[in-house]
Amino acid sequence: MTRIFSTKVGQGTVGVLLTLTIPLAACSNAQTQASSPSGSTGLASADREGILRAAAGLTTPSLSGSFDPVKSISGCDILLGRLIFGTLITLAPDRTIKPGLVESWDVVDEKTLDLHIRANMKFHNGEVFDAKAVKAGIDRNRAKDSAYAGSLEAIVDAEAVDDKTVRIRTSRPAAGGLLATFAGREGMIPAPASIADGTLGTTPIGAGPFKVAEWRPGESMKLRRHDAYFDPDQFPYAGIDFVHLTDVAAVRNALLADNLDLGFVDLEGIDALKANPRTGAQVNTSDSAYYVNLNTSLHDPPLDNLKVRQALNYAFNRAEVAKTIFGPTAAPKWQIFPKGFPGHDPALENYYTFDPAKAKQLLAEAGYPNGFAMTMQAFPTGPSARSAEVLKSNLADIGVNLTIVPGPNMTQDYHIDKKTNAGQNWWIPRTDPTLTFLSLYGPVGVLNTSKYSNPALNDIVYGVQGSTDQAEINTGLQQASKIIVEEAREIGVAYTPSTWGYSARVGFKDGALRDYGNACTGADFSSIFIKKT
Amino acid sequence: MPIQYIVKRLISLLPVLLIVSIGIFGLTYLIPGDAAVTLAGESASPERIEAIRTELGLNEAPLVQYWTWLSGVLHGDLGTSLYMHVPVTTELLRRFPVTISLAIGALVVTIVGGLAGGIAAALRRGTWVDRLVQGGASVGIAMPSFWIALILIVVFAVNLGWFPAIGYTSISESPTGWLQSITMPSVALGAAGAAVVARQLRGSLIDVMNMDYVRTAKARGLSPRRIVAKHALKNAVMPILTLLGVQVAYLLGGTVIVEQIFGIPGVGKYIYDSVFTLDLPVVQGAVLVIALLVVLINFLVDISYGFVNPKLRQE
Repeated sequence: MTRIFSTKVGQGTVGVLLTLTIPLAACSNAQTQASSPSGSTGLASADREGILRAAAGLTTPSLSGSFDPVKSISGCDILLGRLIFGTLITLAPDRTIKPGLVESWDVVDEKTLDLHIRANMKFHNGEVFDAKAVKAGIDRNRAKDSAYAGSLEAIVDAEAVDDKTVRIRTSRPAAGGLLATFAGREGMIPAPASIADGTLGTTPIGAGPFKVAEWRPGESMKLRRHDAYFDPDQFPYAGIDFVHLTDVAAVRNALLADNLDLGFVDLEGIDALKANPRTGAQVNTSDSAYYVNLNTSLHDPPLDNLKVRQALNYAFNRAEVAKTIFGPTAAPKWQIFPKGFPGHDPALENYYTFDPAKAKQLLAEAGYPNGFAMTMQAFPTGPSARSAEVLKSNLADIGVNLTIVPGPNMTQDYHIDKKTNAGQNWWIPRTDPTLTFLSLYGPVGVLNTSKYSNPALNDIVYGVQGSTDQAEINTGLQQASKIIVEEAREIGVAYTPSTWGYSARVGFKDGALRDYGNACTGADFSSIFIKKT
Repeated sequence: MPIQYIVKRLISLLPVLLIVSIGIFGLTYLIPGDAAVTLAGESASPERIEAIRTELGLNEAPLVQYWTWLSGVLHGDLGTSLYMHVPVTTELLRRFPVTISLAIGALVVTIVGGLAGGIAAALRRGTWVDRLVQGGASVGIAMPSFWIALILIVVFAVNLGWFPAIGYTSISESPTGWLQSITMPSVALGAAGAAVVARQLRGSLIDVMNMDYVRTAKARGLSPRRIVAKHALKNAVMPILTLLGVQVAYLLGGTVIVEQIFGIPGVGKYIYDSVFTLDLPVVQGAVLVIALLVVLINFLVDISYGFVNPKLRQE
């Protein structure tokens, strides 16, 4: 059994790690994060009463039309959800887990997880954030009609053991894996009263660092500090004023005109922001990626043939595409996880190095010496559309005639109606990396249309879910990634960088802005402070 | 003006409105994508998508869907946003003041700019003033509103800091803030209209100024200002009235892009965002209301002919 627990000292939280049986790398990280939760750099010059002005796409509450976590239909909902509800577990910049609204946990056994809730926690409306509320929230999140019924399917029971402890039992060894899952939308717990009175969709009340002060749908949202939040240093400012801006050029102009402090911008706007003394810009690596999904046609010739799928991979010059189309900071996608993230395997880099001759040879060995014709749905505009054109050209060189079918509706046209042999996709990884495998390549994955699934892959992924050893988890993710690469289940394109612009008012605790991968999932607002003027 | 004339004109609008409603309903079928898929979420099963499609009535025949929608519209119900779960009518009422204030601002730019430029060019025909107005008008017509908007932002928001690059302040909140927030969008939206009006008025006024009654007025010793204001402009402005009717349609349509660039939460931005989220009731309802407005404004322009020109009234 492994246990991590933290004690409250002054205003900060000091974590103490007690390793009883298995060293827990994730918890070590958590302990480090918790002992200095907000970093130290620059905090002395922080304006704690300042308001951050940020851009976000608030067409609706994110995209789902409801703040209610269980009605979430988009990964983008996590941007506001993290700030309003908080999450039971949180993610460190390197995607390892650390305490969130729960201060510690016990993985009692492979099928039992105890969550220990922080003391003196309250929801925005004053209700106590206790085990009863967390149990009710988890039960609601895993209910059949919830958006997370799939990702929490392993849970069979949640029990409030006492005021501060919730015990979760799973049907299979998945207790450890749930921790990462609870760092996502699955770990958001609304106030019981807001559920009971049916106002949660429009008036979200959580226990996160900020409460909603004003919301003008499609226009703006004002968040203000929740004084009962457990770590006042985590977000050392009084609030965030979001404005709804989805146009990156408008965001750039607003930053340059000093109407904004933070926003996602386009690569083209970086130079102007860096050149202006009032603004700055930063490009971060990301685990969000474009790739070509080949799942649908795995049972149909010619894509049922491994050598054909490998040939397509060898024929595609992804390194050049990443650099020239997605920018110098983009990385070619060779495997499931990029460099610097858990599960990345250096041995898989350059696995399918551009080699048209080898591609032709593989095609010939597969019985297609003269190539064949296939179709691929692709995004109609933007860099992804241009990368599809390069793929078409590359495949033409080995005799494969690729017809591109432009269309944004990948789920319907490709995954459900199977209108094309391949489909270009953009994947935003979940906080729990195993969900990537289960969704895309698992036996019941909703995006694995063919339902083909390698039993070895499933064993590894379920093994990862049952583990709490970060080294073991990392090895498992690497093995799973290797299977996908070797089976050529996809044609990786590029990990897209996230590009941020900021005003001179903004400072960064650790010297740089952290983010969650893209404009949709947002910046890590705990990495920011506002400078005193 | 005979009341029968107005009633007759109003009745003649009904088939136009019917055709407009069919067009708007049909156009939404051309938007790529499936609202049920979007609503179901990224991890939805085919069964869930099908259930939503049934719930929204998307499996019904197009004619049935059209009739259901039209029946609601006739009862003042434009439907409910698929995402916000807010009645489209409610949201439009909230946003229309924003768009209307922007459109009025743009109309002021169009009329004031167009009249001033057109009169100055016509009265100073062949001089540098004429050439300047004509050159400016050509540029104004050639440059799209989004381009003008970006230039205005760079010059007046980024470099000079006189106006905000984004956002909208309501007049009740701060009259000066309101003026600041709509000045640049109004200029961006109204510049092309001002250019068209200036060119049209110049030509029209030059023709009128060569007419006998103007020469007679000159011979009687009336001042040039009185001749233009009292006599010439009244006749020269007739084609401009027609033009303004068209311009209003252009202005309302133009708000879709201009509101997006300036981050103004009006009807245009509502439509823009709803197209991307496939919020069909919003797209249908908002476009229908704008179309109704355009039809109504053109009707008013028709009626106004009678007031400006008594001859038309008698006909």
